[in-house]
Amino acid sequence: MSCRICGRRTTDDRALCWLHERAMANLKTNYEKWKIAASVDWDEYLEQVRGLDGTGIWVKEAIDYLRSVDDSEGE
Amino acid sequence: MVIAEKPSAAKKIAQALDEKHSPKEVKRGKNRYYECHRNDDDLLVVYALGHLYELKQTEKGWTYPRLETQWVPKYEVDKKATNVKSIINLIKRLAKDVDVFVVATDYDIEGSLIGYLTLRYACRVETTDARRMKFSSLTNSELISAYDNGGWLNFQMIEAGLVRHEVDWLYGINLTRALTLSIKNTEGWFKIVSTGRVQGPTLSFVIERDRDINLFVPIPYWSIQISGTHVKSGTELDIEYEKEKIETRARAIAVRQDLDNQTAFVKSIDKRTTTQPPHPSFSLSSLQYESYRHFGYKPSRTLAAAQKLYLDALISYPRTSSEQLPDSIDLKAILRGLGESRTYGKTAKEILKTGRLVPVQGKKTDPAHPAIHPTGEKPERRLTPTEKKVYDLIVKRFLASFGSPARRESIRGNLTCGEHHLFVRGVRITEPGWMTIYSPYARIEERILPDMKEGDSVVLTSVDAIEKASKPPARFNPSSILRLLEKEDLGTKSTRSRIVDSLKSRGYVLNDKFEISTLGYALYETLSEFVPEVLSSDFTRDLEKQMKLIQEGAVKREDVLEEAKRRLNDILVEFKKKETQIGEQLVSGLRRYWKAKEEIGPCPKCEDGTLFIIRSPKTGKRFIGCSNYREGKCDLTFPLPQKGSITPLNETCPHCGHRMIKIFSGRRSWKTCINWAQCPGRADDVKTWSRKQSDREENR
Repeated sequence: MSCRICGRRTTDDRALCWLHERAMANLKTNYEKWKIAASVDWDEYLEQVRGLDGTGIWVKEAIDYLRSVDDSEGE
Repeated sequence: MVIAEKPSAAKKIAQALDEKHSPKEVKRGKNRYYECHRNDDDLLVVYALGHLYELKQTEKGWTYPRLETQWVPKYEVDKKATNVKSIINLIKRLAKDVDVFVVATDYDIEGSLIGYLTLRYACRVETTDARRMKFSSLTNSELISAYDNGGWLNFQMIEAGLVRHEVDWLYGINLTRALTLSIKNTEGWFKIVSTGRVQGPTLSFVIERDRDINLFVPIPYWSIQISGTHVKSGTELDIEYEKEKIETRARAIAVRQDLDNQTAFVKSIDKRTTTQPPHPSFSLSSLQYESYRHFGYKPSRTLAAAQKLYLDALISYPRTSSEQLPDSIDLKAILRGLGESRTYGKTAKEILKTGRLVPVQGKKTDPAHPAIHPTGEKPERRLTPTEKKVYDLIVKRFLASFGSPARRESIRGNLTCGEHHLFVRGVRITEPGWMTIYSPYARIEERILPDMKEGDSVVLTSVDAIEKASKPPARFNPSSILRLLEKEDLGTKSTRSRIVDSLKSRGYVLNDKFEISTLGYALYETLSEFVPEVLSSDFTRDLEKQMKLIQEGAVKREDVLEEAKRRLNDILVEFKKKETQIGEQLVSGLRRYWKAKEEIGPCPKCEDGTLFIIRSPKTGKRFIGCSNYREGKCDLTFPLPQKGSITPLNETCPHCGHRMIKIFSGRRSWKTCINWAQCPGRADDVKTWSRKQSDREENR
């Protein structure tokens, strides 16, 4: 299978490549820190992290992917 | 026959060695040599053009493994080296009537090898009989002394040079062919994908940093910014809070509320005086670092400028690791020479007047050459702006190394406001010392505080809690990657900057900020999965150690070469087994690379085509066009800037809705939409651009 974000080859039929999986994991781990620091919910967290200059490009792509998945589920 | 490394060096050497300093220049076609007379000797000074001989495989075929090599004239392997043939022929012809051969190439591994190979293959003489001139600058006095006191060839240095070339050839050629053929055998494309003994580990360092940056999630923090007025003097002060970072918004707001409009009191004043000795004269890497810091020059540009200054006898040999100036250097003569200069004369004379000619010495050493220093000679031609700047840096650093230490006084005022601790900091240079000589390269940033005493009050006029976010690790730049390679002992001072440049020329990094391309990632991922040894720095570092041991005479070249061949063969056997998988992975990476580099997105006009960056085969100019153009279905095009590299972005223009692109040109980068010439949001930019265009037309 190929990664749904970048098209890179994935292992074990996973939806994302290892780099975007790590970006997702980083997003999840750091949410706890953001909750304590800025009292934000998940959507606000994604919004704010997406807008920061220092956020890594794969993390931004992972956020866009998460949002697109949410949108299509909502439809 | 005296063999120099380059034409300009030959001229300098001939001028120095001729008793009247006026050698006869003999022209032979495009080449020349010099005849001079010294101590009853008739001398012929000839030159090489760097390496005249290169390695070539003994078996035929563009395939791998190819483990046996021989030295051949450079024009046999490099079609561009057309001028080498006539030089070799000239040396061969002249060598027939020569009694004694003297190698006067640069005194380092490469120079020794150039001299040795020229003697062996062009002059065809017994290399053990040849003499060797050893010098660190091309001044008359040093060249004459090197000729009069010449020794013999350093065969350990030559052996180390031979094995470096042989191993680099074996790894570079075989691994590059293996990667390239894996793509060709999978998809039929011929795209050179290279790696090498040092390039692989270098790519690995850059990718690891790039990965950390791309996976980075910033964490918020708050910093308290305070301004205040010292009541007694009325001076405005920038005040620091006791904690640089506050981890939660709630705590930051509480601190701001506590301090707002309050008065703080001076609890104590701490004063500290520090002395800073001058920096030692440059090694090549410290020169490249400083040159990048002040002028933004890439290490390769600094080295090229320094090499020209050396060939003009203005500075000593630049490829050195040393930061020391040994006693054998006539510092007084150099300072006297500089004393004649309009720019440096005053400082040089002042140093001479002190009579204390003891420069600061650094820690690093080099057995072959001292630290880079001026020779004191006057430039005989107008230096280019780049050479002028690099020369100024070298001379001022040298002169500053004789200066007295700088002294600075640091003052810290400790304030309290309720339960909170605050600080004000000041710095004052009490004695600038060497910093004056090294100006403008020594930064003197002073912050003067008013006269403060314990108990003084400071009114806090503004208190803000500023939200910030942690930053990802800094990207490498051409200077910092070079420092890392030096620290890791990878490559040599002469080869590092070329290896760093090769990452860009091969398309593995996108720009001078070392952002990795999809091709770079594809190569790294493929190598780390199938042949991780190629990316490991252990092997290449081990080989560097072996080469040093060869130079010390502790191990034999043949043993090191055999071991390197055995390791390479093991890698290539494994590679062959997995060639199809490797090829597939690289092809998929290349597809993504070309897509990311050339594909802009869907065509807004015909809607079923795709916009690509295209280069016109007629004019060579690039533009954006639609994939349906060939079928005659769509003629949409957009102009593009012709300089710099372009990266399509996943963003649309807020003014016209067209796709955005990023352009990198030199150290600058900017974003624009592909419709930049028509975009209403860029009307002002277009006006300026049109005005410039019409001015240019008028000028024509």
